[in-house]
Amino acid sequence: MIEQLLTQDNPYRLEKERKTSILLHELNQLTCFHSENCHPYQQILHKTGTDPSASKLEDVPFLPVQLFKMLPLYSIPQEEHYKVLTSSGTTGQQVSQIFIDQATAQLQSRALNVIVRDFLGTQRLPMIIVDTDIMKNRMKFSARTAGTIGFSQFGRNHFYLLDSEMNIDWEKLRLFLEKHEGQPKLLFGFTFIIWEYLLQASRRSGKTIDLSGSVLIHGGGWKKLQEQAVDNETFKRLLYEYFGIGRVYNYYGMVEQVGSIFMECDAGHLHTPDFADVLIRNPETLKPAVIGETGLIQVLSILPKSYPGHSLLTEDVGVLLGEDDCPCGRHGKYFHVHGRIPRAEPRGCSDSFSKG
Amino acid sequence: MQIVAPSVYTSDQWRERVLQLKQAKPLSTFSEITIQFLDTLSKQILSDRSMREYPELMACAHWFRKAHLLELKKEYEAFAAQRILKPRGTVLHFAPANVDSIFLYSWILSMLVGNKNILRLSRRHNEQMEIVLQRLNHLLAKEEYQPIAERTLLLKYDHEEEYTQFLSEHCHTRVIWGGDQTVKAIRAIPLATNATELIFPDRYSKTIFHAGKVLRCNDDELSHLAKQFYNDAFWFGQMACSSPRELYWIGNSKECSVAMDRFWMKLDSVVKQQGYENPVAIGMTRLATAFYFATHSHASNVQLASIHEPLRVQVVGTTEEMREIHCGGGLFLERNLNELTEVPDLLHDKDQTVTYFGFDREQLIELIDMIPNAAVSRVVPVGQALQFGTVWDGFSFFLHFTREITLA
Repeated sequence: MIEQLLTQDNPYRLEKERKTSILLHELNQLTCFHSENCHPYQQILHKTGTDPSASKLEDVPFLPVQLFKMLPLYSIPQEEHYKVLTSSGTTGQQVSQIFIDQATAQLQSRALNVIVRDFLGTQRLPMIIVDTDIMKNRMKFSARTAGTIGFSQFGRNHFYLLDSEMNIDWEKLRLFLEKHEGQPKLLFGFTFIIWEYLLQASRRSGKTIDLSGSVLIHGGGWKKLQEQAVDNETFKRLLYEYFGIGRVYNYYGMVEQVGSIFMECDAGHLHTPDFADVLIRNPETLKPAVIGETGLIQVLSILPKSYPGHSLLTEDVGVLLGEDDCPCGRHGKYFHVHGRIPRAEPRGCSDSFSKG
Repeated sequence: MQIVAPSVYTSDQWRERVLQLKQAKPLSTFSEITIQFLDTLSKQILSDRSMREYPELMACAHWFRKAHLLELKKEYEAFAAQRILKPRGTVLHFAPANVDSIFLYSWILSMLVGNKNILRLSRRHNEQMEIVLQRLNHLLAKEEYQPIAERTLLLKYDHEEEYTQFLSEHCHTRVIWGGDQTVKAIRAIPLATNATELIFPDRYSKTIFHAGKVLRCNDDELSHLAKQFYNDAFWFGQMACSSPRELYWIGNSKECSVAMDRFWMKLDSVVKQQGYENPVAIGMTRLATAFYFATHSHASNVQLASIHEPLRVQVVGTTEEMREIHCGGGLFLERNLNELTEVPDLLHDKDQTVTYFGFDREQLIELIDMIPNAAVSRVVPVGQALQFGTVWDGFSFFLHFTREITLA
C-alpha cells in the first residue's frame, strides 16, 4: 500500500473513510513490527497495559517525543543504521536520536518528493539555500542538515546564501542572480534563519533584491519568532515587500518523523498527506479532541520502519480545522499549529545558580 | 545587580552596602526587635488573603510567628547552656530558585542568633515572593526596624562570578541551597580564608508505609494520612528535596496490594479536592519519564493517569539513572517489601528524608542503626516532610550559625 501511495502524483487524494482504514491497517502493522523488534518499545506497551492492535486511529499507541531524548529506540540491527538524526530540544542539553536505515530513508525521501512536487510541479528551479554550506559527517545529521539535504532535490545549481558568519554573501548572490537572470528561483530555509539573516539583514543593509516570481519554502517552527511577535502574515508580507516573493509555503514537520511533512496551502492551512495524519488531544486528559478544539498535536505516519516513531505525541499545540473540505481542494485533515507548550518553571531546590 | 531589599538603597551602591553591613555590630541573640519584626511580617502574611493560594508560604509564616519564635528561643537556650556563643558575623545565603520559602527559614535562623545577612535570590519572577518582598520592604523602611535594615541585604543577579566572588570574600559563612550544578559552580569560587560553608545540594526522599497499619485505618484516619502525604509530595510539585518520590510498602504482598488500593484511591480524591494541577509541560515530561521507567527491567508496571493525577510505577529496584531522571509532578515509584529490615540496603547517599507511617520509635532507631552509608538525615512522620527545623540535612543551624568561645 505504501508503494502505491508514494508513486501517485497527488498525495492528497484519499478521503476520510478510505484513508482511515488504510492508515489503521498500516499503523497496526508497524506497532506489531516495532513491538517485535524494539525491546524497550515492547516493554512500554506491555507495562502500560496498552493493546497493540487498535480499532480506531485514536487508539494507536503513541510515544511522547521527549522519550527519544531519554534513550535510543530502534527496530533494526545496529549494522543497518544508515544515519542518526538529532535534534536540539527544549529539555536542556539532551537531544533526540532518530535511527534511520536505508529503506526508511528512501521512503522519507520519496514521501517528501511527492508532497513538495504537488506544490512546485516537476520543474527544478535554480535554488537559493538560506543557510551556510556546512555538511557535517553523514552519520550524525542535525535536523537542519537533514532538512536542507531533503529539500535540495527540488532545485538545481544550489547556492548557499550565507557565509560561515551567517552574513549574506552579496557578491556571490549578485553572480548567481546574473547567471539565472529572468528565471524564477526556489528558496529554502528555516523560518527563524530566513527572518533573522535574510529579512532583518536586508532591512538593516537597505539592499533590495528582485526575486519576483520565486517560491520560498520554510519550516522549523515559530518559537523564536513568537518571542518577537512575528506572525505568518507579517513574514509573508515582508518577503513580498523586500523581494517580491509571492509564493511562500510554510511546513510543519519534525526530525522524529522526517518525510511526512505538513505543507501549508494557499488558504493558509497545513495539510496531512495520504500516508500521514494528525490527531489533537486534550492536554489534560489526552482524549481526542474534535475539530476546532485546541490541544496537543499527535502525528501519525506509516513511514518509520527503523524506529518506533509512527505515532508520536508532540509538545506542539494546534487545532484541527477540517477534513477533506479545504478550499484548496486537497483531501485529508487540515490544521493549524499555535506553537510549543509553554516551558514549565522548574520548581524545587535545584538550579538557583547553574551557569547557563 | 539589583538590591531587592531594603529598597531605599540604589542598586549601584551594593558594594558599599555590603561593606557597611559587614561593619555593623551584631544584634544580640533573639533580640526583642528581631522577634517583633518577624512576628509583624508573619501576621501580615497570614492575614493576606492573596497568600491563601500558597499553603507553603502560609506554613512558613506560621513558623515564624512569635509563639514559635519563643519556642525556638527555648531550644536555643538549651543548646547554649554551658556554652559561650557569639554570632558568626555576616552570613551569605544562596536561595534556591523555586522552593520559595527556604530562603526565609535560612535567613530567619541566622538572624535570630545575631548574624547579619546577605541573600542572593534567583532572578526568576514569582508572584508570591514579590508580595512577600513588598511587605518586607515596607517594614524595613520603618524607623523602628532600622537595626534590621542595616543588617540585611537582599540581592538579585544572574550568574556573574565577580559578584559571587566579592560577596564570598566578605562573608563569614556561606550557605548554598541549590542543585548539584549550583553547588559546584559556587564552590569553585573561593571564600575568605576564615569563612565556613554549609551546603544543601540535590536530595531524594522516600516514604515507608506499614501496610497492615494502613489497612487498619478507618476512613477518617485514611483521609488524614492522604492529606498529610499530599502536603509532603505536592506543595512544591514534588520538587522539594524532602518530598517523597519512592514508596516502600512493608507487609506481605496481599496486604500491600489492598493497602495501596485504599491509599491511592483516597489520595486521588485529595488531589482532586485540593485542585492540584501540573503544567502541561510537566505532564508531558512525566509521561515520557514514566515510559522511560517502563523500558527498565526494574519496573514491572506503569499505571498511566491523566495529567494532574498521581502516576504510579511499580518497581523491584531502581538505578541511579532512574532516580536522577525523576521529574516530580506526582510521579511515584513504589515497591513491596516483606520486612522493614530490607530498607537500609536500599538507601543511597543522596537520600535525605524518610517519612513513615505505622512504625514505632524502636523500629525506626533500629532502621537508622542499620543504614550502611551516608544516607538519610531525617526520619519523620508522613506530613512533616517539609517541616523545617533547626537541624536540616544533618546540620544544626544553631551550631553552624554561631561560634563558641572557650573561657578557661
